[in-house]
Amino acid sequence: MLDLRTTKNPRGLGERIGNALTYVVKMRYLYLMCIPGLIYLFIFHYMPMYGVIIAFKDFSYTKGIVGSKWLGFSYFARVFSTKDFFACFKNSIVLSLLRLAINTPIPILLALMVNEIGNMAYKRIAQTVMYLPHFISWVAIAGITITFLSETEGLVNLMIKRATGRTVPFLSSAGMFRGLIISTSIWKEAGWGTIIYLAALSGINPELYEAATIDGANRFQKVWYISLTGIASTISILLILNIGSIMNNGFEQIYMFQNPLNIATSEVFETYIYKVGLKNTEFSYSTAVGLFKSVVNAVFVIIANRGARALGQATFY
Amino acid sequence: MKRIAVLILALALMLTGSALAVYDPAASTPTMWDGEVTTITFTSRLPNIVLENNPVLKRVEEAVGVRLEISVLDAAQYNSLIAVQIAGGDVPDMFYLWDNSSNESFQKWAAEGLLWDLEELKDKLPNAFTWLNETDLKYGRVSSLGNKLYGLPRMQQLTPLAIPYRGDWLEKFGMDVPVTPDDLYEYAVRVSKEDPDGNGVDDTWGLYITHLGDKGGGLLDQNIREGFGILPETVAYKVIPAQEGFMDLMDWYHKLYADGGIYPEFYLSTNVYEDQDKFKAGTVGAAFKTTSIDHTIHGPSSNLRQVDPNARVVAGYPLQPNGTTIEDKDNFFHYVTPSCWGVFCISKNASPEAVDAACRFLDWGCTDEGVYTLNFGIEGTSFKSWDAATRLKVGYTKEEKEAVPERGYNYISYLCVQQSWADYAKLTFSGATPEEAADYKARYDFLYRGYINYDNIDTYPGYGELKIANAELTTKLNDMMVQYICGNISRDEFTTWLYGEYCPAWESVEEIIENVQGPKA
Amino acid sequence: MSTQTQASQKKNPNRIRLRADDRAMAILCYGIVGLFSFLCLVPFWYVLVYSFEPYSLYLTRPELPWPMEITLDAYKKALAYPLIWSGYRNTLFLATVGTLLTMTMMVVTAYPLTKRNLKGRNFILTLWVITMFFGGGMIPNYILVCRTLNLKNSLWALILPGLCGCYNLILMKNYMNGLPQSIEEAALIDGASDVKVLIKIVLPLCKPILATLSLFTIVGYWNSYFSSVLYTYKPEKYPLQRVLREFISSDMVDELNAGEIEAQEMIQPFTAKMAVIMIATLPVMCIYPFLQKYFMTGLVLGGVKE
Repeated sequence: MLDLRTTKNPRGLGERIGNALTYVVKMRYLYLMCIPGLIYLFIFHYMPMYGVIIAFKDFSYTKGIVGSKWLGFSYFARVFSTKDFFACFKNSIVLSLLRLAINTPIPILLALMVNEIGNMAYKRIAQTVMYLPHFISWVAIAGITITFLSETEGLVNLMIKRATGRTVPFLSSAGMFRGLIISTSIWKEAGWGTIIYLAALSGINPELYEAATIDGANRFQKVWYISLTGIASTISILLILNIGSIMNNGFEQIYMFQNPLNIATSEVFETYIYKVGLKNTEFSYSTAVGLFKSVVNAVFVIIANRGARALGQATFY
Repeated sequence: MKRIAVLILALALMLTGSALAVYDPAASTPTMWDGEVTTITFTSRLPNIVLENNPVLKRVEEAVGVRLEISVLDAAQYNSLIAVQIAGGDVPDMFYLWDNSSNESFQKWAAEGLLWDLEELKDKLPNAFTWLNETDLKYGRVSSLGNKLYGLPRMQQLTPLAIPYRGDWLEKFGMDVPVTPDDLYEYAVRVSKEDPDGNGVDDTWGLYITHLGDKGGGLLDQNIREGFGILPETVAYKVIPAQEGFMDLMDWYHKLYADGGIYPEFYLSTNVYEDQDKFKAGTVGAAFKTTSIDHTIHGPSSNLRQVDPNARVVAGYPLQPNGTTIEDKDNFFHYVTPSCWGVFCISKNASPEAVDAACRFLDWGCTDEGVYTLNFGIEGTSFKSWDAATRLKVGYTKEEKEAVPERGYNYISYLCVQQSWADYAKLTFSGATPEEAADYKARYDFLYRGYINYDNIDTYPGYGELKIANAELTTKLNDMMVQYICGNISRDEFTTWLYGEYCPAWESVEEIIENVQGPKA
Repeated sequence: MSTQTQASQKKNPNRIRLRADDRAMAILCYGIVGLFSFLCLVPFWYVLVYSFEPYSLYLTRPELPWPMEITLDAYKKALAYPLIWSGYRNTLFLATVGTLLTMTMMVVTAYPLTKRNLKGRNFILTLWVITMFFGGGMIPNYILVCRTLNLKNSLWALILPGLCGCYNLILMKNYMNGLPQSIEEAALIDGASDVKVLIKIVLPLCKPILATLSLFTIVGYWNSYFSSVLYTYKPEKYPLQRVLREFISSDMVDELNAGEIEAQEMIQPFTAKMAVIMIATLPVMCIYPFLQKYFMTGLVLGGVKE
């Protein structure tokens, strides 16, 4: 939104300061509103920020963060030099991109469909039921999934065996791993993901639909041209936000479904670091890894933001 | 010569064990402190118990004049959290570390002078230094700092090991309790093929082995690997995968898997105790991750009979090499080493009074009375009564539990330096029949005669660094073992990697061991 | 609201065509949503069933969709745990006080950021966005909260550090951006101050997003776990999730280090874990129905034509 209370063009320094002050006074409430947030930011986020340098230091307990010896990029070198690093990095990225591509549209479609349902009772019950899996931990969902998909005693394979005579290695096949992860994450999170879209949908002006009807649009056209367009900015923002966590694969979920037989695709960055060394309390090493992840995430967000702007969609700024 | 020394040691241990076991709280006068009470801060890894108005803590105050201001950190991430606290400048007067002296942070704290050298406080810790012998103290020593003792180890002396089997199934097959790998192989295959639970469905398997945990988890479990002549690292001067029996063990698993004796999806376990769960469900014929009397009797039995009322649990021995029989008493051996579950440290920054108080508390924890109180609680409050003769806590059965306000043993045992005596006395169980318990004790006593002590390589200088450097190889070994067992990779692929990459990386282990023990005999 | 309105049903002469695509839409939507909802019910249902089953039944017949034997053991054990009540109390405090503070902070911070040409706005927004990716880590945060601010073992340590998350802030800002400018313009021209505009005009239009973010925030505080791991050390101060997590023990505990006896006691059977999930999350699952009505209201524009 633009605020139409613009300022005049400044000339000399004195006038500039004068203009600035007038501006601040005019907009004083807006600036005042920013203050609590800024105080919070400073104390709780920027003051501890110096801790980032642990990633570059050999941490000493007695000397603290500031006094510890500099080691530069040696910890990063260690991260990159581990032999299987690139294989699991690749797995991370592939999984994240797949997840992004498949998990993004599904809550949107579901939200659009829920929105089209006329029967209030059906709508409410469906909504409530859909977001239940979000509250159940991965330990439980993985446990249930494994029980059902197991080749030895699982119900699903029992039925498949009766029908076709063979079992399907859902859990032990490297090829099926990604599909398994994506479908279970849809199962768990898609329902919850519809909430924000439903909120956006409820903000669309109903008169638009009426106008469209008068223009002769059918249901599908209305959904496409009005509903979808109406939540376009939300979709765009959420996409950018999700790209910002591209290096976070959902450690718990992957760890639960990972086993030595599907390890070729199931070893991702996070589980690898966990198994190989991060269980120890080597602060510098773990901070270096965290920093690396953050930088990659930030880069992706900047790219995504630029992309969104180029496409004319809503962006962060 | 060595064998005799070991037998004497074992005998001595047994005697101390039995001497301790007759601690009778009613017969001895409780310790009372008559000076001032000092408060010290103590961080530990306790289970979730209510600390306010805790009767045991009150008793501690009475007995040694120490009021413990306890901070409890999250159990699962305990070591990381205490490291963060200390890094943040918060060093408690006394704290517990859930690891032994090979822990990196511990060594760093010691090197930077944050911890007391406990030998300097020797006169304040008379009972502790009597109780803990040299082998124990090794777990608290930091070799790179002149072997100084920076932590008081919390030891589990006696680690009786056993493999529980389905006694009713053994009877059905007319088999004795398996002693060698061949016996176990036969048992496993028969359980898988002959439907011992008689329900007409192919739902039983011989073994379930979890692959989780350090060092291959169940796959390299000591109970099994000794049957292939695999010795501890400090005895063989080699890491386990480099020893001769290793591929025999792998081939044995591989063949057993192919013959259907192993639960096909054992690699799916997400929980290190899953083999026990499967045992309790009546699905498999043996369990492995049970390392003490209590587990064997308490764990598998209690639920098992709800599933199959005819089930009987019989304790078996760690496997002996093929050819050994139960009559070969001299050849029947088992390697044991005391386990260290953590160390107690005292901060150099604590005031002199606090240091005194901490020592008093830790020392009391090495007396019979202290062990009894800290591990079990207060008679009448924590449990109904105690029978010193049978070392049974009365009132621990499920039904009577309602009348008892707190859970029985392991009350605040994390505060107690000495755990082992309490273990030995933990012949308490719910669900096992007296016959099962007696049978177990008999086998336990038999096996005890053949225990051989060895040093745990974790305490040797240089090993910690080597472990860290080879961390990825260790995880890969785990994966490769499972893949070979299941037939996903060929034997050649496995051995090429094993002897080409894994073993060479561990060659310096020989030197590490020689530096401590001298050249191999 | 759905795209089908009453007016369209009466006015449009092409009724037959509408009915066909209405029917198609109905079948599609009711069908797929119904199927997906059913699938979502499955894990929840099984958690519920397992929580009432004896452990031995779970081990032998995990596929049963109905508990053949019912036992309240798991629930009794969990509820008898003395710390559970302090856990609930602490979490309720966090969920109410924390959410109130967070929502206030979020509204007040997001509104100025919507004004694209406010000088300095981009700078402030950048400051926020950076915090989404970069942070000091555990040690500086520990030093800040526990020593500098002396909030060790206080419930405020569980509220203040995470008071306003950038993710939700951006969602709110985005929603506010989507509101029609004209009403605000009208109010400003009429001489209303920014504060009045925010409270009287913008906020009422933001009901859906406020409901959404309140829900997210409440759930966030309800699930609060790790900050208590770092900042609290007396069990009476633990929030619910922490109490229960320790009660059921993590499956990822390194068993080499776990004292064998203690670990065996700590690792409760799977069914106990299920009961714990129910106890821990049922209350918060019930909040949504109360907020649902905020997702149904449309914009009330009050006489301003687009």
